Amino acid sequence: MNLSAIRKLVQIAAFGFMVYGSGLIGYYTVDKFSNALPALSCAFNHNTGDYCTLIPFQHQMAHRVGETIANEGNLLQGLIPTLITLGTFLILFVILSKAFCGWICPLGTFQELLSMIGQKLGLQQRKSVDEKVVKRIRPVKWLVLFFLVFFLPILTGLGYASHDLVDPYCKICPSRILTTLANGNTDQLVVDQANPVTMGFSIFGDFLFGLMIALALTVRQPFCRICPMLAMNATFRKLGLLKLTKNASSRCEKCGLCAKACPMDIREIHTEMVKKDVTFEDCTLCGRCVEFCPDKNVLQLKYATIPIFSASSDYFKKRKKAQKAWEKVTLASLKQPTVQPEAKS
Amino acid sequence: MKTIQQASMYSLSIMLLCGFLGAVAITPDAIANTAPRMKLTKPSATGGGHQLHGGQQHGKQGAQPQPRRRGAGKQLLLENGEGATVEFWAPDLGFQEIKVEGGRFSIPKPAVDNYHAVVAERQQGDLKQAAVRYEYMRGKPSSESPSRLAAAQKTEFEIEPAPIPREHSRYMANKKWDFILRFKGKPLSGVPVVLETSQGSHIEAVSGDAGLVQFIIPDDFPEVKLGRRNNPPAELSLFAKYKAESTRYETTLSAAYYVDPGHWRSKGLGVAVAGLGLLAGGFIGGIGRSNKRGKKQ
Repeated sequence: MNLSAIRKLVQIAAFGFMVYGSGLIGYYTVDKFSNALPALSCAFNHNTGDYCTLIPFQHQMAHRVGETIANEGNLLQGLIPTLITLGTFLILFVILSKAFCGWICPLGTFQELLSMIGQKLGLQQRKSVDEKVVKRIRPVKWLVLFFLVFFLPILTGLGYASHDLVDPYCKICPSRILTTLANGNTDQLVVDQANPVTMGFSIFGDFLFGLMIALALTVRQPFCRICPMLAMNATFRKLGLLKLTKNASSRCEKCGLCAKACPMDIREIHTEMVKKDVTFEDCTLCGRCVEFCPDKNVLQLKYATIPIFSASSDYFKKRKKAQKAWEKVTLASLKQPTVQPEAKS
Repeated sequence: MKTIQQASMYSLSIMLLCGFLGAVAITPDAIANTAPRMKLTKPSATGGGHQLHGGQQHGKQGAQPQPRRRGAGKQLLLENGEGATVEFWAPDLGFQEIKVEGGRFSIPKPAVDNYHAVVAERQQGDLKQAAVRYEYMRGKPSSESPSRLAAAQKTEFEIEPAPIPREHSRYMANKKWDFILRFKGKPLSGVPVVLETSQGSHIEAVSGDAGLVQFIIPDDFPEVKLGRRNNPPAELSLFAKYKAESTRYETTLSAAYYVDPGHWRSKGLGVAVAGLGLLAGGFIGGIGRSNKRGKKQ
């Protein structure tokens, strides 16, 4: 079994826990696994096993930080809940690092599933997004994190913005719609006409959800590229025990298979020749680059400096063969009639 | 003389009409329960105004929002509960008695946050009455699950919310909610349960297997405005009675419930906008191009 197959199994199990896990651990917030998960596990889904850390951050910015500043209270006291959430987030993040994106996040899993469906339907897959487009898109996740997770909620707490902007990111997050729909609940796929703010955000959220679905059929991980959780995880990526490392060889310059394999189109994995730690800001630690690296030990996934998965030519050959076989099977190929020798005669 | 006759006729008609209306107004259930029901409500809910979480007043023209109050300060009213003892249960199942004067009382400052239960009990002859209400309180974080508090036997005959609306969630009209009827901690099936709202709705159901009873909270708000914060909550209460040996038991569970947000949220439009997103994504992703190529081939 290759690394991608193992990852798929982990993703399926994680999806089950994040979307339906309340049956295992409990219904109430206090029952949840951490309430500060570094993955988009949505609290609007009442059957979730855990909450994404962006939810408490937004509420704490509004109700604790913003209100404390507005009331001229003790800011340190107002920051304590945020620090507790950050501490919990960091404990989890240190253990699995950015693998929360590539292995745990239910929205990431859903986009990969859509990509598989697109490929099986025979839709033309974009092997990689244009470099200029990738570079233009990269800052968006930081803007989303800054404005929607921190800035607007603080403005709400200060009284300068509508109370409906306590959790502005949640209002547009596709995971909110996906995880509730996965439980048969259609309450989140709505246009909220209560006021212009809710209407605008709900329209944008619904549109983004549809856009993400259609794009994911042909483009790898479209939403992950602008996800604020990716930015959040990128901020602390040096603290994670799991890292992607590179021992560049002279063959690297001509190869570039790692960059082609990367679902986030991180070309720097290929071009970086000096740095050992190549866990770049967009990396989700999925390990595909290591799988498709043909040179021994050039790329490695290391856990606390111990290599846990390394590139090798034997693995590369097997993996490439498996990939070709997988890509060959499409709906169109299944429909093609097999030519019988009798028919020829 | 003629005037006196007319007056007598009018009086008789009015008396007959009142009698008829009275008969209509009294439901069979009400006839069966002559004793007034003891229940715990929010004072404002019965006093004309309504109160939202955090002590914000709504429903009055020109009313200014009150500052958010944390911890203590929630006022409750014990209706028809003269002589009852009232206990305040914490999430760790510790409890303390609350002094009630004239039915109105304040919930004491809690040590921790999350759901707490207010339990009123009274015995009058062979009748034992209980009223329960769950209130979300602010405070230091509690590590106890509200499921423990809900499942704990707080009084002999009890309606357990299964579950209590999750933290920051609430009872909503048009949604189905489950409750479990318990007697001395064990589920009780085959017993009628009545749901009544402060807006005048009345629904009856019978507890089934494992004491489970389900209600869709009626969407009975007479006037609905756009947005949840513009619609004050109303009160609902569930009532059941049971006789065991020579004792009659009555229990009430009360809570606030809110307008169905479906009044200002359109699912049809939501699907339509997501459809537009799909089209845009298909265009950007080049699905159309790909299909055209496929057709040519």
